[in-house]
Amino acid sequence: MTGSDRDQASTRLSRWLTTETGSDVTVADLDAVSAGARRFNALFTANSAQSSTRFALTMIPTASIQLLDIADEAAVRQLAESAGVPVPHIHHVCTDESVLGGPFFISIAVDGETVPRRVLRLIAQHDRLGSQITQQIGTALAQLHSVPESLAPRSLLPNTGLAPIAHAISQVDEGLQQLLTPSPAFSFCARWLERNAPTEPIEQTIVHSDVRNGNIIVGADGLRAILDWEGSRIGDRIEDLSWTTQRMWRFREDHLPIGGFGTIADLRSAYLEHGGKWDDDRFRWWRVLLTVRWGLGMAGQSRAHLEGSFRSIVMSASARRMAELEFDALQLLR
Amino acid sequence: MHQPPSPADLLRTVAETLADDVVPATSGPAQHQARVAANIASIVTRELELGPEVRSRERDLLREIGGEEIGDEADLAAAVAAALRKGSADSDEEHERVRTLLTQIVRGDLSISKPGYDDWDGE
Repeated sequence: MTGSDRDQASTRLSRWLTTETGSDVTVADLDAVSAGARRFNALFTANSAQSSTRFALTMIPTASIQLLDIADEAAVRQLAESAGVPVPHIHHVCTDESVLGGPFFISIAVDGETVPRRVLRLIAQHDRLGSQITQQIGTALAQLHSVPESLAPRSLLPNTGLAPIAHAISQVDEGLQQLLTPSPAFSFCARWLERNAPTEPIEQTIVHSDVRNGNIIVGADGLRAILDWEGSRIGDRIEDLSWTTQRMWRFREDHLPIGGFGTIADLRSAYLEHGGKWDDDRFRWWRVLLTVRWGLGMAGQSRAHLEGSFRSIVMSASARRMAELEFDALQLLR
Repeated sequence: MHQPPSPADLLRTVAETLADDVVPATSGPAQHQARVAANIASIVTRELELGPEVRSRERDLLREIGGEEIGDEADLAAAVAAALRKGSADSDEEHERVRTLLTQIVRGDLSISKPGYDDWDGE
């Protein structure tokens, strides 16, 4: 973001907040923290006569692919928050794209570490912190999964209309068919997933779908917030638990499967203690499924690069990472 | 024919320049891109050097998985993938035999794309 872009955005945001809150607000110190293909995140200070508060702005550029309508994403975050999940509280939602060039919401800024390697460094400096954060994630997921599914926006239902397990298997087969060169390893895994598929969950829940090292804010006092709710869906609760164990989020700290800082035993005990339900076979099945799905997604990123729909040096190399996921999936099938 | 350096030698030099000179001299998104570029250049360097041997070994392993029925199919990987998806390795014995052979194939790919990643043996 250039200086003049920043000044313009600050002015527009000041004007909008002044109308929204009914008192004079001036936006200062607007800093872009990340600008992905689908998201623009910034921090800013809102100054008024009464207070000076640091906020986080999340905006979806109009042209981008929206996974979840911003109002629905805000609704999910509010449901999670009311169930006890640590989520940065949302103060304002704006669906008018003319204000900033895309719909956005404003939540309170939460201090702490989010960059995975820095998270691991902080945890290494404090005894028991990794175990504590793992248990807090287990607790937060149990709380999220306790929200009655009927309260969630209907846009969270899978677009295929299939139940979660059938939907996940169909996505894997679709991903296999789209590969530019075949993957015998993933074809082998797909067959295993089909033959070992658990029954469809009796009770579906809201699933965050991306709780991991990198989407959490932590401090020396533990877990402070869970971020990035754009992938929320209605599905099988165990998916959320399995995703936290992806090897990619461990940064080679393989002895601690949860993000390189925690054990499955800690996750499981906290999840059960707060009313969650656990099933070892289902947990393993989802670990395999998610590993395969992520690997196929990597190949998809490189396809988007090749087809020219999203040229990027990072995405160009994604397909070269698929072998890592093939390896992990085959190890999980020992 | 060009005189040496070979394509791999030249690309290795590109990777070294990016990693040793460009990355430290940049910051933010440009630094991230330079780091990714250095990594890609290293991967392709290894692919130029190890690729032929890895591919040849892969063909042998695919034939071992597929058995006589596969024979000399033009696209071995496609034939083996299709057979596996349909259930050619469903029995416990076949599952472990094929899983082991597939792991060897993937180890070959990792020797190019991420050496050392295969030091994990599950839980």
